[in-house]
Amino acid sequence: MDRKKFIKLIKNEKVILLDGSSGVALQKAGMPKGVCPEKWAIDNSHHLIKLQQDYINAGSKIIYTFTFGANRIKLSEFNLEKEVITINKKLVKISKSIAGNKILIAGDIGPTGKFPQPTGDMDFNECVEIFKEQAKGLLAGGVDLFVIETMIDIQEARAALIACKELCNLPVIVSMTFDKNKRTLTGTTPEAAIITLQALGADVIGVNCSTGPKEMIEVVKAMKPYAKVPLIAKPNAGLPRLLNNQTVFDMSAREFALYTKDLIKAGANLIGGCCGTTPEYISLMKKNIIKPKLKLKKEIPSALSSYQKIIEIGKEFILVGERINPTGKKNLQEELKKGVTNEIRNLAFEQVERGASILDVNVGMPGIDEKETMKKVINLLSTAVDIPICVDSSSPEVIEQALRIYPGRVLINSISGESKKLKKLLPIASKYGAMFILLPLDDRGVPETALNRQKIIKKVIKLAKKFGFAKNDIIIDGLVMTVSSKPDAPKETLKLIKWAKKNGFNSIIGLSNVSFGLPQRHIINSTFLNMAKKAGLNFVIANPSYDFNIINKDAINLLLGKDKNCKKWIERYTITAEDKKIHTKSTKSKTIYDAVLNGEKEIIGELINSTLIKGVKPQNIVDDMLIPAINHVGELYDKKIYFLPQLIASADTMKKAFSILEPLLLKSNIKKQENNIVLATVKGDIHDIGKNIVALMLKNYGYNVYDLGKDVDSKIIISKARQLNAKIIGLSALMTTTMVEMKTVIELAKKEKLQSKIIIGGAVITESFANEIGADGYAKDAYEAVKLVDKILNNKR
Amino acid sequence: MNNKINYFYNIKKEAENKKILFRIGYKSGITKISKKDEKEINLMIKKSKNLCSLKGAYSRFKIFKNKDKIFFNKKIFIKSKNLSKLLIDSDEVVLMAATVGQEIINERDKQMKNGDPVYSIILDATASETADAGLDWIQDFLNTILAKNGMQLTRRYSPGYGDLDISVQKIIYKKLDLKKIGIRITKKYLLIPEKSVLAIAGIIKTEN
Repeated sequence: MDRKKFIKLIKNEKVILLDGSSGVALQKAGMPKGVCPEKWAIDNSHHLIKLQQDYINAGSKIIYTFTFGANRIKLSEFNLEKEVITINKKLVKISKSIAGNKILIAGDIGPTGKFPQPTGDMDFNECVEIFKEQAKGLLAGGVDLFVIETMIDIQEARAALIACKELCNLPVIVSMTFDKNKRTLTGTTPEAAIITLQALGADVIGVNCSTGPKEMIEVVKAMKPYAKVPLIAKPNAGLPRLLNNQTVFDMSAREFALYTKDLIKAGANLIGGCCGTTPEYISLMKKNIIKPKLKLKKEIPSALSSYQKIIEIGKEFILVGERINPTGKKNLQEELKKGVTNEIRNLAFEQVERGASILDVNVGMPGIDEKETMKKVINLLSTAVDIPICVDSSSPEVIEQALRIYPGRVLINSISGESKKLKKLLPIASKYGAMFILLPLDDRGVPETALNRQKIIKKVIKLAKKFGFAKNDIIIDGLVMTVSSKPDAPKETLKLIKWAKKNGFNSIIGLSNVSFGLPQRHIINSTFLNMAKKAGLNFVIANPSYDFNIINKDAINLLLGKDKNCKKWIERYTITAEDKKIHTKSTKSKTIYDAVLNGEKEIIGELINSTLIKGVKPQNIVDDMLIPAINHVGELYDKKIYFLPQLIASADTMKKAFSILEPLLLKSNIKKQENNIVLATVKGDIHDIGKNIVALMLKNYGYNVYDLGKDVDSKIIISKARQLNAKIIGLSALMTTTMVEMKTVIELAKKEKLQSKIIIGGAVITESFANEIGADGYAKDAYEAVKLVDKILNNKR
Repeated sequence: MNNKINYFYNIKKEAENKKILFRIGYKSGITKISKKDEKEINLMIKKSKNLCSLKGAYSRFKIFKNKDKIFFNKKIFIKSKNLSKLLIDSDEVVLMAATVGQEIINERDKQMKNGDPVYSIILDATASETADAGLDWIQDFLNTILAKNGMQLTRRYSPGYGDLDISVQKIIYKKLDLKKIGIRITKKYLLIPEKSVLAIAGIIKTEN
């Protein structure tokens, strides 16, 4: 069936009744468990024919083929992966045989059971090919339309939709499964699902399976405000459970049917049932159908989507983070060359934290495969952050790659009037339903005036309309030029922004260009942004770390072309060496004791120095201030008033204090704590966070700690202890398999007649284990370890 | 039954902050923390979560049981009374794994050595909780799929707990071919990256 005719049919009918469940009904008809359901239905086609005939008699106008699991991956569980085309074709023929000319047959496509990238390990294009193979079989059987259903991952739904669209022009319904929190398993909201899928060309979108009809009403309601396409709802008859080896559902047909009106009122135009429903449910649903006027949005809303959520354009000012761009970033360049993406992850995180709503992604640089790098980065960003992306590349191939694999609706940065690129990029943007930034330049270059830029914009829009684009899909770039070289350029940009606003377009600028080559760029940038916002700007591409609240009169004059050669600006705002003097923070009335108690490492140095200047002896600082403070911290930790981070922060503050005092203590011949301690994680064990914390604590109580690290052989531990004349050996192990190594160390120590006391600790260690292997002590945590060492060595505090 | 392994390369699941804080000793109603410190710790948790690269794998296996032994085939079996009790109603199990990757571990060690030890322990706790959250996600996913047929998972059980020997990690490691998601196993059955977790759960019928 033609797509337009299908939508016309829905508009005429207002509500179309679908069918209900098949799987459970065929189980009742005798389909054994463990067989391939599709193959069994072919071999026992009279059961399928009867069921589908019953649905038609109940009032179903569209019947789904029994091909939910007839893809290569699912069929391979029954060694039928080579029968994909045949099985699909036969099952379509069976349904067609009873359909007549008034019933439509929808080729049913279900999930593969595997996840495509970025969530799973299946290559996205491989996933598309798997669905394409199934769709070919359905086409060969003569389906009227496709229905992609029970999708729990938007990326898999996209793959199936792309597969259908690349094969033919039949209508495609896409139906997702949401949990009671209105999210798919991979976190997609109903709003994100509809924005992504309708931009990609789905003709009907909605929800099936999931929960019962009551909960489904909320999902339909969430989708409706964004729907340019009709919506579908096919709920379960409650949640399934097994009773005497039969799957049963709790909700009766009568109760189920009572929700029909509310589903339609919420916005569903195609309704039916999923698991647990039978022809009786559909028949009762029919009796409750109401036919309100079909209201759909004329255009796809101006919105972008990520894996999880949407950003609506025009609702609030949008900041596009510009920092994922290797230009001028050495670290990022080096990482991209190595294929590492840590810096990308950090930049993404930082920008989200600072308020970016969209991330601009540019990975273009010499010496790398931009297409492959973009793929890697897109897969990372799809899951690392939950905001949409703006793909920034000069290569149409790179842009296409990003659009194909990103699990949401993308913004392209940018499409200009350059004829070659325009011809390549418009079809790509249209195929994947992307929005784009229209850069008003063409083969002749950048026009200087707003008027000439408008001419290019009009020309591009005329062509874009032929590819189905509307005003909503396009964002005009104000085209910011550098004020230092073109003093009138900012004024022309502002004019263009005003024009865009007047003509109903959204507009954007790449901000930082305006101040290139001038001092105090952030003041100029911020001032210009505020001027542009006043003119009607609703997007900016910038570094989110800037303060955008600055408005400066001198900058306004500069940006309006009133500061000839930027002379005044340069004179007034060039920073001198004097200006760069760093002002130290005042520590006011803080004491050393308080600084340790509060873990304020950043001020302890200054406090120690000022106390020394006053003539207080280093040893007195230790005895009268530092040790009492850390003891107080220990008490608070014991009472759980402090937790581990506070204990560690105080210990770290002590560490810094000691680093200043230690040389002075030695110089003044004050006897330093002579007790050496050797610490190690035993052989075979690689866990050392606990041991590291113990080391930190002991050091800050004045002990000389020699940390041998992790996975340390018993001989090395004993030898080092002997060499240092260590009073204590502290051993750590986290696993049951490695704790036995502690015994080896103790036995070796005894054999070698070593005098050191051996104490142990770690997640699986207990007091009784310590006793059993002959250890001299056990501590359950770092603070206990300090107390234990103090006790063994008779150190009183 | 399908013994194919499913791998997840990017699991979008965050650990709960309250679980992370609990792991490092925070006691609600007892522990006192200033607003400034709370803000800093929350930021550290956010940064830590950002360094987790949560991956996972699972597969379903038919089993047969004999007293306190669970057999995958005649040669491969697990001996555990606790696990046998858990799987009493199951003839199929799911083996699962989750890892947060090496990057957060490297950062943790770097911070402990030359940086901020407070951040180091936050990184450690976040990594542990995120790995557990990965297994939660896999369980949620499987329960969604299983619910279609009136089935569900039992609670999960990990090697090293109770009488389930740590050496069982080797069996799960091999069955799931975990090198595909960057996990290695040592001679002492420890997993690298350190914050990697394995578990086993039974498939049972949903209670009437």
